[in-house]
Amino acid sequence: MSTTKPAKKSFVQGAIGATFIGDSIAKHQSKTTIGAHNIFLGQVRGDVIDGKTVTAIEYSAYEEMAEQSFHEIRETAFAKYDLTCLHIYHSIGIVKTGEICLFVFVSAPKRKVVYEALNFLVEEIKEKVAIFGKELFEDETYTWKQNT
Amino acid sequence: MTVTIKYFGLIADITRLKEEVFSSDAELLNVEDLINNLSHKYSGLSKASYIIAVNKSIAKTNLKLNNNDVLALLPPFAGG
Repeated sequence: MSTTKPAKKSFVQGAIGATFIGDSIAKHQSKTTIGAHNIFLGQVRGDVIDGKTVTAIEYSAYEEMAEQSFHEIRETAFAKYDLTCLHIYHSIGIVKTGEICLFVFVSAPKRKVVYEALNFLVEEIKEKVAIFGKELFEDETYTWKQNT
Repeated sequence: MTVTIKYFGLIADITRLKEEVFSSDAELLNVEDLINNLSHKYSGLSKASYIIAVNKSIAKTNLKLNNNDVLALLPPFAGG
């Protein structure tokens, strides 16, 4: 598949902060063909598992393969939808309960496409990217998270 | 033949290793042969759920391995 977009890196160390997200939005003000943005933010949930509460998730990944998967997902989305740009950021390392671990940002001239494209991207990321999550409990025990 | 095997998540807990090099005198080896070998070496592996990537692509068990291939045992994904 040919591409005109440069290879990007999607992994971010630790939680994705509100400033980072705000700055990303601000950077698009110069792209005046855009008429609609849509954003997905994944947040770490404090699930209770067997009576113990999750305090954080420690994300790890097969990074070389995952970056390749992010690239393929991005290319598929550009081929499938009329998008001006799209960005995917996923945390690696520890993200505490309530913090943001996934930031997907799509922009297009018209609004309808951004809903569909965003949904497509999030589902693809959850299904196809080699990312692993260790759910950490208060007592320093852990369990491995699995997407359903 | 020599291949590198990478372990992730729950699988790395079972093997207590993130990576190892596997060498064999056998000339023809496929993914399944290697997995059988690893399952003898690491008890717990046969009960675990995982898929296999060869050179960063998801592979079937009948795929023949080549010298210097990089395999990865990938437990269920949990991104997002």
